[in-house]
Amino acid sequence: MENSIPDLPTELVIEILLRLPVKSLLKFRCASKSWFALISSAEFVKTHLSLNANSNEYTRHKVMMFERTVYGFRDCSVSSLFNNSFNEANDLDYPSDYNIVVIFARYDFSLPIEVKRYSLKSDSWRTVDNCPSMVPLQQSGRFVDGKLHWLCMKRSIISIDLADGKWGEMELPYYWKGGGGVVLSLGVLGSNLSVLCDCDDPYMLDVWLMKEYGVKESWTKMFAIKMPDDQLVYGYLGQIRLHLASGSEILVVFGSTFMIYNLKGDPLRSSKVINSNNWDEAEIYIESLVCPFSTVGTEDATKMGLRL
Amino acid sequence: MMSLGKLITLKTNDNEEFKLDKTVAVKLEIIKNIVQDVDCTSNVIPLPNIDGKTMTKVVKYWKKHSEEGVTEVQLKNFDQDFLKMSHSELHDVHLAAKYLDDNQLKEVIIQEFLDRIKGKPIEEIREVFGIVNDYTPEEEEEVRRENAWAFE
Repeated sequence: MENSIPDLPTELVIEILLRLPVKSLLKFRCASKSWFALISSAEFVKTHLSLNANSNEYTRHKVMMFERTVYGFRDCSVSSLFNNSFNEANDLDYPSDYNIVVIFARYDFSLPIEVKRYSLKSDSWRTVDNCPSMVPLQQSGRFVDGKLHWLCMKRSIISIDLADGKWGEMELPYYWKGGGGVVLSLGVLGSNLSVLCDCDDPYMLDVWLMKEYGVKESWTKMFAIKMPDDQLVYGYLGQIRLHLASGSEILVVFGSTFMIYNLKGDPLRSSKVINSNNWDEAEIYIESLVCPFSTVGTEDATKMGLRL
Repeated sequence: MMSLGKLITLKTNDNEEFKLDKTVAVKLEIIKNIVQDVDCTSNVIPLPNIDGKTMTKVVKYWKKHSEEGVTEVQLKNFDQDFLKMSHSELHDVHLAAKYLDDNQLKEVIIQEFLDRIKGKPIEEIREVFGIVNDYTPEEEEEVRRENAWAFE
């Protein structure tokens, strides 16, 4: 077997490189100047991000768990949560604030609510005006369609557009109005906003999806999740979150527990991260080559939101 | 009467002929399209971009993967064996698969390339891809320092 491929076409090289994780690509930038240019190019960075973000197998999605007590982050791959009942997480370096785009909100009962927005391009903080009277800070914003969303007083969804800093409001599914149902939490499934609703059966939770962004008529009830009998151990209902669908399966986060739900309606099955079970918050993320210090791909970077 | 039969002949650029069962061949979009255009009495399809050596491999792959009752394990073993070829041969098969619009085979080849470079140091990656290192030692040192995290 000879060592090298003469004249390997760039097209094939790109196809191979696009499938590699960020860490390998950063390493490969040291191979030559032309590889550095290729891997750093805006087009490559963008294609790589969108390939990974849209992969159906979630091979590149990871879940980041934050533990307040030790003030540390750990991560674990999402596909392993689906495939194994017991998983091990890696320790992550504590990320510096400067490489995260931040929606910065302060909440003090004695003071008016103040919301600030940090822009990477201008490298500056700006106060966002006309903040609705009730910004619910108990939840992280959910990112869809360039906007961060919060559930407001369980009656509507308010959003802030990251591009222009404008506030918006959307209606929830109608059904809670008549019955005793309550919308418990807001989430993102695939690329759609979703809500988790309490219904008549105390052991069931309804999952609704806004199939067309911003169109209230498109709210559709997708399925109902049967709560485990010992649901009380998972803490209060507001902490339940649905994450991603892997084929016919969905990752459900109850307090500090990961569970897998399949659409056939089987009982939830638990998926444990053996060395991280007391985390306070978990977020799904993917690695990308987007660099916060250059203007390349900052539109993509603004898609990340974090509550401080 | 063989012209109306089930066999299709593929002819490579070095005049090698491959007789294929029609049911195997028409699974490929490109062959299906050519079959519709080609004179039915001859049933010979020219492949101007592929040589006989490469086509032998491709046909071997197609035959195995369309075998009736073949198990997952058998296919896995077959693939493992099939992929034991040089980088440039692998590249030729990739080009052929691309020309024939066979996405499955294309994907298998790319995965093999990925496996071959997995965990390898930069020096070996350069060899595999035939890359000339045009960094000066100082420049390379600097790029490595900037990306130090990736080398941990």
